[in-house]
Amino acid sequence: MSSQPIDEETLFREAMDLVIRLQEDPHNAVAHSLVNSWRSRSAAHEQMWEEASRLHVLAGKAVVSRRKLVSFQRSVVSRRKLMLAVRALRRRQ
Amino acid sequence: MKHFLHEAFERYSEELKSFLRRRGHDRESAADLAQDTFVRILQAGGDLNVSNPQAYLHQVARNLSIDTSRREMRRCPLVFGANDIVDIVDPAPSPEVIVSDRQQLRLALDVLDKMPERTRLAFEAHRLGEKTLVEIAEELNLSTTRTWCLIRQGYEELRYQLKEAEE
Repeated sequence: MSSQPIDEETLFREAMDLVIRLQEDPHNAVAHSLVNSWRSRSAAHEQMWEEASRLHVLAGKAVVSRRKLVSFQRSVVSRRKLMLAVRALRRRQ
Repeated sequence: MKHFLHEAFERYSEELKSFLRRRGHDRESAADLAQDTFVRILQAGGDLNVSNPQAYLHQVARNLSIDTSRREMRRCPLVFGANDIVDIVDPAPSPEVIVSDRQQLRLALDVLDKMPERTRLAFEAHRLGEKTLVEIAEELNLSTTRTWCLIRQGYEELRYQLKEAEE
């Protein structure tokens, strides 16, 4: 395997492409073996893989938090609806 | 004794919340599911005049809890093997690390907010495993390659902002 230095940006893109591929098809054995061989190319590859993985985890947390924020805003509305419904029911009885 | 919904609501909603908490839901989600339990019964005609309303409420709450957990599992499947996660996650983060994690999360939320609409849609749907790249591409009327690039650009932006913040 060639050991010519690769610039950081290219390395990051390669790592991210692997992450995206793995996310797309988590149980694909080929994707996993691609990742393993890519990581073992050099210490720089391994380090970049770790950085890409960390970003992937962070992105996951951020996307989930964002969804929760959005659905919380919606649930405030649905909670008001529930209270109105309960009040209407109470009046009926 | 008749158990009307509003009485049951006042009487059992706290109990249902702790029941749902014990089933592993966080506080916010347990509160939502407890509310949903009553909404579900309301939708079914609002009849709580059964022999054991408490058991009935728990049964409805349990069903909602199972549905929600399943949906969450589908939405956010674990991508990496257990070893990878162990490599990444510090088992006992120091207080400074926790603070910096929060800062990173805040920064990442900011990056998401500033993304162009289509990039964010693609990024979120992909990250949560809700849709395949082909499906996302079709929905956004883009090529699969272009969609892939948008997602990667999202990560590039995230990386760039984190590096900026470190300096």
